[in-house]
Amino acid sequence: MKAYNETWVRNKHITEQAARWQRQGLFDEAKMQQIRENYPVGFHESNGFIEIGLFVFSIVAVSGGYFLLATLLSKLFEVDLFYHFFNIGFGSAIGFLAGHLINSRKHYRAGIDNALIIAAVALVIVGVIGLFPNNMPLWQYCFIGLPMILLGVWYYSDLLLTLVAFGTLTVALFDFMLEFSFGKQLLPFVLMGVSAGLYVLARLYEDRDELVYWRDNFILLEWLSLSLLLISCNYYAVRELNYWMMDRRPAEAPEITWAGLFWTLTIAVPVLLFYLGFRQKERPLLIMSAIGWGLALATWRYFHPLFSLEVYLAVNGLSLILVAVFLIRYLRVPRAGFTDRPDEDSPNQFLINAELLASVQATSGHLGSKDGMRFGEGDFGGGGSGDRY
Amino acid sequence: MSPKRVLQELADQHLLDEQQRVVIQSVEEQKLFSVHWELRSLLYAGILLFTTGTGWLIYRYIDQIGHNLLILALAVVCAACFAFATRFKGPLSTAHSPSRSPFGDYALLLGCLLFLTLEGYLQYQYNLFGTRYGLVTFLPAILFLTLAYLFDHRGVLAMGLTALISWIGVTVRPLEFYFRGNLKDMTVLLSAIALSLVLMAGALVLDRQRIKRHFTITTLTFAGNLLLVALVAGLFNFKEQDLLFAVALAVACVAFDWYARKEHSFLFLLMSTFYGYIGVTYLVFHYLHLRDEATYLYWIVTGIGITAYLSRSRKV
Repeated sequence: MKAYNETWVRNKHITEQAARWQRQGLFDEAKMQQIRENYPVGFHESNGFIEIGLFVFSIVAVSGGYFLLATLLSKLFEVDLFYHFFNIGFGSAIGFLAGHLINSRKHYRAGIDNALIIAAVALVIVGVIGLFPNNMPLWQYCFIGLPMILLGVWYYSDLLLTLVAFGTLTVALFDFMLEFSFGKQLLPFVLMGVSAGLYVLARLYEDRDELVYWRDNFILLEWLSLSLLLISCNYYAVRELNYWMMDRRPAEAPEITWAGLFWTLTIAVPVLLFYLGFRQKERPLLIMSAIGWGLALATWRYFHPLFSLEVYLAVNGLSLILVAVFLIRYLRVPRAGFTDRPDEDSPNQFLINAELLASVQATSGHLGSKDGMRFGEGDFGGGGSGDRY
Repeated sequence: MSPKRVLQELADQHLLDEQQRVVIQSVEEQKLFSVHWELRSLLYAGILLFTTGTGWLIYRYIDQIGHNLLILALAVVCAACFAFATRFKGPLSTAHSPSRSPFGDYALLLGCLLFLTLEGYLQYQYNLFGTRYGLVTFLPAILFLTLAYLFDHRGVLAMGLTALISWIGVTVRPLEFYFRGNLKDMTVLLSAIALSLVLMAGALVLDRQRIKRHFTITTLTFAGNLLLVALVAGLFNFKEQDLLFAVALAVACVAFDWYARKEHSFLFLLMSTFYGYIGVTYLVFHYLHLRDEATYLYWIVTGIGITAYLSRSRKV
């Protein structure tokens, strides 16, 4: 028993795959129609922009309800216990409301349900944790909350909850390891081990038939665990974290134990990811390896700068351009199973929009660099133009 | 479920005959891995890093030997980029007409960004435009907009619009050039409103004439955000005229809502909802001085109301 109709989720997956084949011209529209009729999907269609609006305004309404009730009942909250039970009760009520809307309005990740699910799980967890003594270490609270978040992921297959669960696990491990005297040294290795393990787990289970309800969650987990892996083996990250965890900080971050090993890992892990991604043709591995190379290069430059930052930017930018141009020309004919031809999986529109935002950002930067002017980017926020990938 | 399993499932249900199944299976087995967008993102990132790096570089070593060589090299690269883009330009057309080379669009982008760098440098070092600061942004704005239409390039269009929006700020208040700070000045505010109206009218006229219709949404998004931000800023900053700004904001939001429904564009629906909500909320709190409970009630009522409204608009 899950929040969303499992058959519809499965049918949605099947018809989406079939639609991909139809777009490639492997069968005609009549056949596609026949497949749609055999695999009905009852969820309401939605749209990304509308979902954003629905999410935001659902949160507004829920916050209003929460604070109104809390204000009216504030007299009772002099006894802490009431407050915690109020949180649990209000969270459960929101959960019931989410369930009702999912059933009656046929929502599936439509903004409203995402907002209500997050609010419900968060309130219940805050309430339950409130029932425990308030002088426990952070990792214990995390380990109390984690099963409830995972239960939420199991029931709702919500992606935001998956992200929260991953974050909670990371924080819990982090805090737990610091309990031990040797924990600080061991921490990066534990995080590396856990992220690698989670990645393997996600890869093993993402395509399982019976787990199709959580397919997107497994894919998200792949991206998250690869990101954590890159950070936890990075020399800069380890050194800075070590510095921040010191009781008495010197002026500069001191050298860490096993520095050589971390330097090796900083460079070797992206190489390994690239090798695996190339062999297995896995997009997350390839993209994260490219980001990892960027990180490794930035780390190297930070500690061993040969030139000024400007020179690095210009030289690396030029190298990136040359590499990309070479690869685009080289892959005009397919090689080793790779091609430059766009396929039906490409997130076309999304990337064009990202590129537009990046151009706007770059233009404002250039227009502004001369006399400290900044204008034009106000409405849009950053396009992530500085990212190395 | 892997594609293979989906195929098996469809075959088991007799939705695909054996021949279709075999064909699809062989297509899946020989499927190539497309790195099209990854490589383009790499190229894009390279261009942005390169232009940012060189943009800073020319100011850093401004009095050193080799500096002129750097400027010369950048000018040559910039010219080469424009030449390359021109050589592979698609035929001049009012419809979509992409470059004939996969690198044409990127060369044009690199050329435009380098042009900005060089132009800024000439003004800094030789005071090329004197005190007419407006020209520093107006010139690239006009150049980029022209190039965007000639070369059919949405990125350059966005750059041109950015430069144009900078231009009204520059001309009116060259020294206090900051988005929010600027809109406290009535002249800047009115220029922003006027510019956005002109841009929107232009975009709609061109759309009607069927000239580069795929540009319409970019221009309208830019100009629309500028207009709505300006109106909200007017409402916040000019208490005496707030009724006027409130009415104007309401009209703009209704117009965007109408346009969104007509063109089935959810982005404009979301824009009108957000800016409209900010405006209404500001007026309510400014004039009604709600107490805590009433504030929370306002959140509940409006939150549910707008959620219901957006839900019903899911199929605009």
